[in-house]
Amino acid sequence: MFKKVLIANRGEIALRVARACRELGINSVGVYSTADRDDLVLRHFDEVVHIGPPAGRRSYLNAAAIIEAASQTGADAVHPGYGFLSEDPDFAEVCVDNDLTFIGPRAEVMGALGDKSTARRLMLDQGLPLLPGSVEALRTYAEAKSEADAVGYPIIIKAVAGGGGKGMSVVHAPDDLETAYRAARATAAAVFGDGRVYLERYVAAARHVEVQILCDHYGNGIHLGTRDCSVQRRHQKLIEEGPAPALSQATLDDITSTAVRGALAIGFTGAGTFEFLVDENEKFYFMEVNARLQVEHTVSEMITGIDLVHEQLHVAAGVPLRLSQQDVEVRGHAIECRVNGEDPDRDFAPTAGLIERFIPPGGPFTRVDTHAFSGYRLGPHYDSLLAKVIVWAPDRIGALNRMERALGEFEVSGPGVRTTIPMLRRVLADFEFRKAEHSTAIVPRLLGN
Amino acid sequence: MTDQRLLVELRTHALGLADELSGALRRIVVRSGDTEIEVEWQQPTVRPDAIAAALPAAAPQVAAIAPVAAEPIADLIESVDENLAAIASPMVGTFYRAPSPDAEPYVSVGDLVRKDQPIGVVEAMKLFNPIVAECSGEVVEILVKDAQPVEFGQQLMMVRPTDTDGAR
Repeated sequence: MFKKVLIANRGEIALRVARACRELGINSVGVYSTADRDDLVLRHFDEVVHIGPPAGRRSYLNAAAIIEAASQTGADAVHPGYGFLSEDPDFAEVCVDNDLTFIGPRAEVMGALGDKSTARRLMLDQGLPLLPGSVEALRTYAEAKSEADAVGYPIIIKAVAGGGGKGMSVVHAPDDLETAYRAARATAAAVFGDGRVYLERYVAAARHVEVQILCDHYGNGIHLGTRDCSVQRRHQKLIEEGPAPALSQATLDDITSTAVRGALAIGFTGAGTFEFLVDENEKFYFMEVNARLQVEHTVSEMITGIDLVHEQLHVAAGVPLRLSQQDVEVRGHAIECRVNGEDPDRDFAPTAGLIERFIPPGGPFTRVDTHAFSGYRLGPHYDSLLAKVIVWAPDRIGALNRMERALGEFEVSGPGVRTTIPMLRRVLADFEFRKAEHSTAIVPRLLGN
Repeated sequence: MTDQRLLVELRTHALGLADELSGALRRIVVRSGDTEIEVEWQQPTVRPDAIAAALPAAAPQVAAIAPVAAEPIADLIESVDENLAAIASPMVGTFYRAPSPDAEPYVSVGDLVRKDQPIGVVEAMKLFNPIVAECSGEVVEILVKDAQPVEFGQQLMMVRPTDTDGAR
């Protein structure tokens, strides 16, 4: 096992990983930018290194500073968290070149999965179902046009190098295709430095269902059940729950075994997520693989009782999987709500300011993962996630009621500070959501657009 | 956005004043429209000019300040030697005082340096990055040892700037 792990991230996930390290007797090294120079956060690490100014590209995305910090402190592994460098195959390679274990899949596997067209090709070859559309990147507008005509409208254009809901565009009619195609290419080039796009059929009323997987270096892989992440706005998740509700056991079994098969076929190692779109007939289609720990991994932890970061660290250290599929027993229901510092009245624009009062909920089966506290300054530099509230109950309705109770206790206030809590409570109270009859269309409907 | 930040800034200042200055408070008014802090104390002892002087330079203009007790206000300002300039590391790496192990150090305490003169190197990812003086002056203290790991922003040296900038 590792002796010292550098955590190349910030916020709640850096704390999450530091806590796992402490529980396993591993020393942790935290890194921070000038904007995150906060003793109440930094106390969670055994050592800390100031790596750069607030701008992410000069701090948390600065591979050289992170590698230097790791070698200065004598760390033997790097945990990338999510976001930032977590899915950067070049960074994974640089870690290895500097005798550091990168806690994640091998660089070449990550590279193949990060390129969505390669990932689609790989999964198609393994017999995973894909939505009708272009498997490879589109080369010309003419190709996009004929592909879209063949698939039928509406279609969605996605960036090959995309992720995090950015660079996606839904096209409802042939007349809008050319503008959307060119705009999507320009956006992809600007945001991801790679202008390639592909298109597939757009399913408006679908469910976003994903499978948590865990694989070791010896060809063993298991899943930790499913999560439904259909409550999204602008393709960014707000509420996640597990196991995915209102699906037959046969569908759940099929989707989980498909994911494990796909993961093992491509030599995936570590913790990852296979994302699927499920239509109203419970037919599912492969979307993409997230080759890292996810924000919502907590949901899987709550329904299985397995600490994913503990297992992730063991697997990365070369320990064979300590669990077999039979050991994984999904019990009850868990929900996670993302409390973001955002203003619902200004199209969920991130808000910044001093959080004067930050009183998270407590009580039975209620977990709050956060780096914030009363007096915390929410800055403009990073994403707006303030806290994750996760609850567990024996059944879904019990979990919804518990979450409603927990969010009611949660107070986040300060001048100019707004959060997603009111919006989350509207979803929880929604009739369709309570009956688990919702789809990815739920938030647009509640917002009236 | 700027208004918001200004308001937060003003608020912090008002609360800071309330904390630091003695005497029971009667009321605080913070306004961001035309920028205003109003602090009113119970017992009036007049020293408004002193308060205004004690506010940090970057603070917005104070429109109205109510009377305060004549307590030491110097506490409001952090006591740093304003005559010294720090040279900080621009990156994480290893600091070296000399270009090679057997070479003379770039500078020693007491040396006069010119603006942009190399004072050391920080090695990061096997690249040697020259660190230069940001102003002309006398090196009064070297805060890190040769071959010491340094963080971003870590102070390496203190320089007493000379009035005339030597670099032309």
